[in-house]
Amino acid sequence: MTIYNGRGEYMVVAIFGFVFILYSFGWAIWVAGV
Amino acid sequence: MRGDSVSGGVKRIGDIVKKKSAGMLLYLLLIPMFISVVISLFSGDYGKFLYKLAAFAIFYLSALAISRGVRYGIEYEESEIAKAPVPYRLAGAVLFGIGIFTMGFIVGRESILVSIFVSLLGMAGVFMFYGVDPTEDKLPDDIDMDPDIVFKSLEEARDALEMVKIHGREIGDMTLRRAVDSAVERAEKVLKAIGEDPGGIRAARKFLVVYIDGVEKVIQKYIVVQSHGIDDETRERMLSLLDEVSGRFEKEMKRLEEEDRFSLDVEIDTLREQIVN
Repeated sequence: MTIYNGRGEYMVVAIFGFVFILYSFGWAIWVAGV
Repeated sequence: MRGDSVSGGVKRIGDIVKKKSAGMLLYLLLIPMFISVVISLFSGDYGKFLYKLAAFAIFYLSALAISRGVRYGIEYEESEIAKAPVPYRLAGAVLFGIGIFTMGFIVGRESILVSIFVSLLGMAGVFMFYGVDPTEDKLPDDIDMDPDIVFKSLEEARDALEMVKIHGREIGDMTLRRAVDSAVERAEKVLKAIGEDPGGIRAARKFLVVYIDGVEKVIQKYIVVQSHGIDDETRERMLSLLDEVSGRFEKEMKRLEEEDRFSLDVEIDTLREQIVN
């Protein structure tokens, strides 16, 4: 099963995925601090 | 099925871009991560620095795995016949989660529950953005050969071609090296065509096994002899051999295209007959 097949279909799922990646990564950098 | 391959042979620009830039986002994310690591080093917090460095390595491996997974996924989709690839995207997603958890729980001292939650969110994000690895082998139903033999032939040919590429770079003579490159390029086209439409694999087996393997062996020997010095005659013979091989690959490609055209003609005739009757 392919949720997002890399060709632009299922864009909504991909956009949510993008947001999740950015959020979790940003959170990680933020809470780790300097 | 054979008609499909005509349109399947046309490469979409989006696919090429996607293939080349697979995992780019994660590589971009490494930049702020790198800055964060450097800041920790200069602020003298060595414990934090080491953990962040470890997390950086994990994110880097994750980006590598995911980009490989996406590349394999695209290759899988493009082929009519393919083994389910190693689930690199899954490995990449897990690594991504571990990286987030390390940064949140160990470096940032967040609660374990929040850290796990955000890690899972990130992992889900990777799957949603990059897709899930295919798990089933892809086999066309109209093939009259043992699928394992087909897989094996294609895989061996790809491996041998990879070796030709690697050893070809060791050839000192530029003209010869270019001749090898052009032969490889043609062979790749044929392999790709067979991968997209394996109907003609029986006829192409000789091409796969004999020619590519043969070129591999010749190049290997040439490299050994090259270190003792090559005379002009051998060089000329090698060059003409490579030209011949290139020509043979080109012919193979033409034959495959011809077959496609033939099967299209058959389809057209069949449909026309059905309409008339």
